[in-house]
Amino acid sequence: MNEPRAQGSIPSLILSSQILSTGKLRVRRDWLIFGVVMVLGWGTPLLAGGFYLYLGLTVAIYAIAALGLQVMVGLAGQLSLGHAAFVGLGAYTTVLLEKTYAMPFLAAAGCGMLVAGLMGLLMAQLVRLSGVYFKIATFGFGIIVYQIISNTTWLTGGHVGIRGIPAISIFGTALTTRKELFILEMLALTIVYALLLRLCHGRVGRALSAIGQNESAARSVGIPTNAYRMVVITIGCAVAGLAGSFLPHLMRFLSPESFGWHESLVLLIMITVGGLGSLPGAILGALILIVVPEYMRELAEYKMLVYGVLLVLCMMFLPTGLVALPATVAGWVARLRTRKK
Amino acid sequence: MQLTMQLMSGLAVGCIYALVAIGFSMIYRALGLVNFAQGDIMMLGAFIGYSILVAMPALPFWLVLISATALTAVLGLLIERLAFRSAVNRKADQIYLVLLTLGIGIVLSNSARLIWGANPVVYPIALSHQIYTVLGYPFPAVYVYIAVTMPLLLLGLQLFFSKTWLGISSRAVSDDREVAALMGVDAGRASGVSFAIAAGTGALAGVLYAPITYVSFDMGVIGVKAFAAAIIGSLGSIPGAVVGGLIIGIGETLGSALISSEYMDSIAFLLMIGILLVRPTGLFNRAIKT
Amino acid sequence: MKTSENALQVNQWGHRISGVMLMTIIPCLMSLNASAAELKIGFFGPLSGPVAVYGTESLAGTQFGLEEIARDKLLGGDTIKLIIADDMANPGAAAQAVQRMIDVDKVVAVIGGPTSAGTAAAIEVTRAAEIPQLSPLAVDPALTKQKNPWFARIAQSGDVFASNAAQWMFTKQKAKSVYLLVRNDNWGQPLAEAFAIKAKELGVEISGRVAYEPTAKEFKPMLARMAEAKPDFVAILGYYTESGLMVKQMSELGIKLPIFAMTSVGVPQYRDIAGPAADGSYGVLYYFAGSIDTDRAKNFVKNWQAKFGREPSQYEGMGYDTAYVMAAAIKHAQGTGKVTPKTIRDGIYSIKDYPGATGPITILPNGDAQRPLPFVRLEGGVLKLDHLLQ
Repeated sequence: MNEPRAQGSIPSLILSSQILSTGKLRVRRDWLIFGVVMVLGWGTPLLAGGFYLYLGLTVAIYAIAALGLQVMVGLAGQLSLGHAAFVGLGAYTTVLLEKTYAMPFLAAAGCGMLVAGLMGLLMAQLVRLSGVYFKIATFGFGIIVYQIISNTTWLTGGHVGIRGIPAISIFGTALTTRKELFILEMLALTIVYALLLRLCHGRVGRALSAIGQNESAARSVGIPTNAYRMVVITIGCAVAGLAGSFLPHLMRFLSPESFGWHESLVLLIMITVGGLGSLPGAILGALILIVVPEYMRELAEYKMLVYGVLLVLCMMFLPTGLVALPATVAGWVARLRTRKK
Repeated sequence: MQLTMQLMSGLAVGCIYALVAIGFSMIYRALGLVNFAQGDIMMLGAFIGYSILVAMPALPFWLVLISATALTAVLGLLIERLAFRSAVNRKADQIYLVLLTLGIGIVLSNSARLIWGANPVVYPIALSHQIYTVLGYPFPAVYVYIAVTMPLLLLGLQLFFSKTWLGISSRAVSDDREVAALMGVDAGRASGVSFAIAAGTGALAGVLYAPITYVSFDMGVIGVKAFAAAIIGSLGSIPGAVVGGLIIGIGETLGSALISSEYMDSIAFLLMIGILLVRPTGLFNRAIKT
Repeated sequence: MKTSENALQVNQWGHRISGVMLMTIIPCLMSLNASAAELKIGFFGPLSGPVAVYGTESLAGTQFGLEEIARDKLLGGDTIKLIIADDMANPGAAAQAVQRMIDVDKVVAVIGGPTSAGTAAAIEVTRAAEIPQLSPLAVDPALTKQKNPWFARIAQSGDVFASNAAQWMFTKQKAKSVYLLVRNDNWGQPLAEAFAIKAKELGVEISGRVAYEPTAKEFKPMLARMAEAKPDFVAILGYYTESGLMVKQMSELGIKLPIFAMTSVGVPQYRDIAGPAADGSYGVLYYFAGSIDTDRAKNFVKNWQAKFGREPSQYEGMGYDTAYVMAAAIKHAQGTGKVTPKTIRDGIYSIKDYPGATGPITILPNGDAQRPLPFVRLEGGVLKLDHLLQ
C-alpha cells in the first residue's frame, strides 16, 4: 500500500534525493525559488493590472489551498479527496461571522481556519484506517460536509447562496479595490508559503516526508506516524480554510456549488501537474489551471478533457511534475545516451 | 404495500451498486489499485448499449446486455494495457495510481459528453417504462433482468475463478504477483483479464441501470457510492461487494423513508464510516494486501 | 506583450479616468462621423454539462435573432458582435467569464444568464462595473430585489410564475390541496415560497413541502410519503431530469395524481424519461410556440421551422426576444447620440409593450418583466395550450 516510490528510474532517484536531502544546498535552493516565485507573483498582476489582476486574485486563493493540499498529499502521502469542502468551511464561517456579528475580517478568517482545521482533525481520526479505506473515507467526508452546507438552509442559505457580502475590513479600513484585496491575499500566500517551507525543512518536515515515502518503515524507526498524520491533515485543512475565507470576497457571492467533488478534483490536478511534493509546483499548478482556460475560451468544452489527459500523461510519463521537468528531461537524455553506447 | 415497493426499489439499486462494487473489488485484488474510473466505465457501458440499440432497435435486451458487456470488457483490456500495466509493474506509489485512475475517469466522462452529447438519453425500448403487475402491485420489468443477472453473474464468476486455468492464475497473480510469475503465470495477461471482467461487470451495471433512470455522461457519480459498498464488504471480496451494495441500497431507502430525504447521498458514506469505525477492514474482514 | 503595454499605460493614467475618457470620446467620434461601430455584447451560460440545454437553446435563439437584426439593418450602421462564454453551470466560472468580457473584450452589455445561480454571481460583477445585464431566463426573485439598476430580465420573476401557478390551480383546476416537491436551490426554493404564500391567500392547503437534492435520482420514499397525504395536485418544482424521473417513479409506485411540472413539460426529454406516465401533465412555460397571435410571432415560428425543421422551444424563443429587446435598447441609446453602457441600460428600462415574438414585453422599474404566461398540458405526447395569462 505505502510502497516506496518508483524506484530504479533516474527521475525518481532525483526526486527522492530532492525530498530526503535537506542539506544546506537544498534549503538555499528552495528559498531562492521562493524568492523568484514571490517576485513574479507580486509583480506581474500588479503591473499588468485589469483582468490580470483579477486572475491573480483567483490564482492566489487557489494557490493557498493547493499549498495546504500539497503538504498533506505530496509530502506526507495523505491523499484527501474532499479538500474543496474545507475551503468551503472556511468561506462560510468567515462570511457568516462577518455578516451576523460584523466581525472584522482577520478575526473571521481566523475562525474560518479554526473551523476548517477542527473538521480536518475530526476527519484525521480516520487515520486508524489503513491506506485505501482512509482515502475513500476522506472522499465521503467531503461529500457529507458539502451536503451539510447545502442543506442547513437556515444557516447557510443552502443552494440559494449568500449575497451582499461586505468588503474586507482590516483594523477599521475597508478594502474596496482589487489592488488592496490582492495585496492582502499575496501577504497571506507569502506567509503560508514561507511557513510551510520552514516546516518542510525542519524535523517535522523530514518526519512527514519519511511517512510519505514508506509509512511502515517510518513507524519502525520510531516515528509516531498516527500523530504526525493527524497534525499534517489538520494543517492542510486549516490552510484550505484560509483560502476559503478570501473566496467570497472576490466573487461577492457564495454558494455550495464552488466546493464540490469537481473542485476537489481540480485541486488535486493542480498539485500533481506542478509536481507532487513540490510547494512551488502547487503554485505553478494553480496558475496553469486557472490562467490557461482563459486563453482557450473557444475550446471551453474540451477543458476538462484536456485536464484529464494531462493528468493521465503526467502520471504515466512525468510523475514528478512540471517543476522537475528539467531534471526529468536530463534523466531521459542520460538514459538515451547510455542506451546508445 | 408502499414500503415493500420502496424496498424492492432499494434492492434493485443496491444490485447496481453491487455490480460496480464487484468490479472495483476485483481490480483492487488483482492490481492493488483503487479504480476511481469504475463508475465512468459503467457509464461507458450504458452509452455503448444505447448506441447498439440505436443501430439495431429490434435487438432483444439480452443481446444488448451481452454485447455491451463484451465491448466494454475489450475497452477495459485496452485501458489496462495502455495506462496501468507499466505503472503497476513499476510498483508505483498508491497516490500516482489513484490520480491516474481519476484522470482516466475524467477522460472517459468528457469523451462521452463530446461523443454522445450533454443531454441525457433514454433507451428507446419498451423496457424503459414497462411495468408488470404482480399480486396487484406494480413491478418494473427491468427488475426481472436484474434479478436473473445477479445470481448468474455470481455463479459464473465463482466457476471462472475456481475451475478455469485463466481464473485460477488470475487469483494467483492477485495474491502474490512475483511468486505466480515464478510459477510460470503470465502476470500481465492475468491482470488484463481481471480488468476486463471488472469492466464488463461495470457495463452490466450501466446497461441495467439505464432503463431505471436514463443515461448521461455524469452518471458515473453513482460509482462513488459503489466504492462505499466495496469498502463495507471489505475490498477484494466479491461476496462482500454484493452485501455492501445491498446494504447501501436498502439503507438509503430506509433512511429516506424514516429520517429525511435531503441527506440521501450522505447515507452511503455515513454507513461506510460507521461500519469502518467498528470493523476497520470491512464486514468480511478479508486480510488485505499491504 | 501588447496587452500588458496597454495595461501599463492605463495604469499610469488611472484606470477609471482613462476608462471614462475612452467611453465618451469614442462614441462621440462615432456619432460625429456617423461611422459604423461594432458593439460587443457578452453572452454567458451553461453550454456544457447536465443543464446545457438552457444555455445552448437560448444562445441559438439569440444568435437567430441577431442574424435577422444584422440582415435587416435594424441598427443602422452599427453591428453587434456576440462574445460567448461557457460557465458550465458554475457560478464562479460565470463571474470570471463576465469579468473577462468586461475587462478584456470591453463589452457594452451582457446577455445572461439562463440559470439563476450563474446570474446571481454575474450581477455582482456587472453591477460593480456598471454594465447592463439582460437575462433571458433567470427567475430567482432575489435578483431584482437588490435595487440593482444594471440588471433586467425578460422572464417573469419566480414570484409571478409561482403565484400565477397557484391562482391557476385554484381557479382552473379547482385544487384544494397541493403537495410541493421542491428542488433545493435558488430556483426551486423561492418558487415554492411564493407559491405557498399565494396558496395561503387563496385558501388552498399545502399538504406538504419537501426539498430534494438536485443530484438525487431515487425519489420513491419521498413520493410514497406524498401519496399518503392524498393531495389534489402535485407540483414538481424541478428541472426536467428530476421531474421526469419523479413522474416515472410515481407510476412505478402506482401513484395516480394530477401533476404540475412547471417548465419541464416543454422539454422533450421530460417525456422520454417519464414515459407514458407523462401524459396528462400540466405545466407553465416561458413561451409556447403558436400561443401568440401576432404577425411577428407567427413569422418567428415559421422562419424557425424553415431553418431547423421544428417549432422553437421556450428557451429558444426567449433567447430570440432577448436579442431583439437588446437591439431596441441600443436603438434607444443611438437616439441619445451616444451608445454607452449607461444609455443602453436606460434603453432597456424604457421598453414598454415591446411586440416580441414571445408576446408583449414591458420592463418594470425594478428590472422584472411583464409578459404573457402560457399554461399547457401534455396530451398524447403533444403540448396543448390550456390557458394564456396576459
